[in-house]
Amino acid sequence: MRWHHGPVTVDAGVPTPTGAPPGGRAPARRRYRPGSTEIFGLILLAGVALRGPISDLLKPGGAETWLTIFVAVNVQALPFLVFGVIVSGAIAAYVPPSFLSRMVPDRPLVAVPLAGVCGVALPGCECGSVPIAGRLMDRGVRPSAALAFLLSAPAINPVVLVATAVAFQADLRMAWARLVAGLATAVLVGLIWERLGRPEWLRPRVRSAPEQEGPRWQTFLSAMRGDFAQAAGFLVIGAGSAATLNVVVPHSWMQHVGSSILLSVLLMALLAFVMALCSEADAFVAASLSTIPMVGKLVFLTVGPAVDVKLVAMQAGILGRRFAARFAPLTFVVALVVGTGVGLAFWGW
Amino acid sequence: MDRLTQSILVALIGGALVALTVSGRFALYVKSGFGPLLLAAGITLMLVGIACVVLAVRPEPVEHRRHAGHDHDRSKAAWLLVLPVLALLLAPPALGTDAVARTAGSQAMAGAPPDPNGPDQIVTGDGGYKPNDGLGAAPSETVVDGQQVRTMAFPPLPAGKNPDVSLSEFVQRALYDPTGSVTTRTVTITGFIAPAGKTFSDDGYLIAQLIISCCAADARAIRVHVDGAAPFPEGTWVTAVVTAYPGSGTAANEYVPTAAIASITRRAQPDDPYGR
Repeated sequence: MRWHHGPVTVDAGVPTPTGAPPGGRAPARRRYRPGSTEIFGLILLAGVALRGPISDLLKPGGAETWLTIFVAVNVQALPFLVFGVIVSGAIAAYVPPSFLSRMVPDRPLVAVPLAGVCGVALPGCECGSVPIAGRLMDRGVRPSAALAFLLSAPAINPVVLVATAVAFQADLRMAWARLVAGLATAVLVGLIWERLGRPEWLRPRVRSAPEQEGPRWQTFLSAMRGDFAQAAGFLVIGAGSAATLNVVVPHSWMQHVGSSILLSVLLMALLAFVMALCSEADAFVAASLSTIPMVGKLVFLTVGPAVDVKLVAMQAGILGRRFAARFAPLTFVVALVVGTGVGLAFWGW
Repeated sequence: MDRLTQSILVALIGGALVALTVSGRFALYVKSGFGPLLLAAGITLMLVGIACVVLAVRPEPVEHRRHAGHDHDRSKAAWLLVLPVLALLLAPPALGTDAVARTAGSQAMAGAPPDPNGPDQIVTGDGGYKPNDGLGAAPSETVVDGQQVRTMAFPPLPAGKNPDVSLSEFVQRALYDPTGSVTTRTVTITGFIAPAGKTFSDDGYLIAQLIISCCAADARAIRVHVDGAAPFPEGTWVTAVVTAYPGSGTAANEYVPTAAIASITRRAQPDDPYGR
């Protein structure tokens, strides 16, 4: 078995979720598990049969609103996730690890900012960049650089910046402030991770199939299928929590912060975390919050693409729970501080 | 979940996305501009899923060995994907009165684009525009908190009797148009009936619509208040010929203007129920 372990692929010896030995011993893998398809079919049949009674049950109160928002978040994220897994599958199948290690500079002080700037080139939102970052690490890209890319791609790509400029036509500085704050957050988190991060925290679930066995397109297809099933599964958890918080957290919170910068900054960071908006839409929501100072709005736009309930779920699924437990608080604090600092630099107190 | 089931599920989700898009029901959940993206994603997932089903059922030892060690082959997370498929089976409706009550907030504008040719384009203390006080154009000398007040400039309403105006434009004109375009003549608006809520002490009702900028998770309510008893049950979509009372939207009622109804008729829910 020829494995191309990047520096982060440390799961040797860690059992896979199904308990199959790592490194793939073929006989264990070939065991047919009856039922998977059958169970799925049964669930589906039950769903079809019971849809009438269940939807009657959901009629009153917020349950129906929850269901609509849950479906909406999933539907809205899927195109971006599909785009992400196409890129991730293509890297798995067509980009040799040697190419990436040649392209990415050795020195972290160069590699991390460079990876952050490269985020400009990926027009998507945050869901798509998680599998891509996992795949990059798998292909030997330094984790800190892959993480800088993970954070910057959804925050500062051209689509998001144009959307921000459209939403804040009255004050175009917001698009620039967002670019600065998003990039600074990505690079800072990357550099902090370079210093403090430990490889054993990362347990990327995306692992490449061995090279040069079977046609590439088969590798491409199965990498896509696998990445999609894994990432979308965790997207579902994120969509569920986002829908729950959306229904439970009173929106009137936003109205009563007044113009206190400190309070608004904290509240907006929390809201960005719980609302889990797509980074292409959050600017419109921020612009509509009339009572919040600009600094608070910038913090909303800086924290949102970097860390929210949906992303934490996906990162835990793709990169491991121990990673997510450390990375999410780090990102939250850095984005909050950077967003506030850049906001004050742009607009003052 | 094994490889075959995963593949079936991926194809099924792709198919569901395509069906959702082609039937137009996707507009109940996301902005209508998402259509082409959803269609492309759905077709991609269907093709990938079907190809993977073929790969999975084809007995090929080499293929198996190649996949050995790819731990997605038995992903537990994939089971979670059953949930949105089931949720789609339940076909949740577009957000309605419940979401209006949850997302209602001040309708005061902030950060809207100043028109260089319009009058008085300078920000007030809270970053917003001076509400139309019903006295015509705000005088340009007005200064609040050391900053000059601005009002908004709107293009003339379309010609003809009772022109169609979106609910959000109606609210903006009612609040901010110094020329009183919707307070001096009648226009046609579309929305659904919602309870007045605690903002209004009298018994009236609301004509409301939700506006989204991406998906239903970012919905925000646009409301117009009407005095008197609602002619239709809550949630009924209506077309109404209305005119706004000048100065009726204030800070006390979250800038929800009150409208006088000339006529109101029931209508079907629009294909795209959300405004923008």
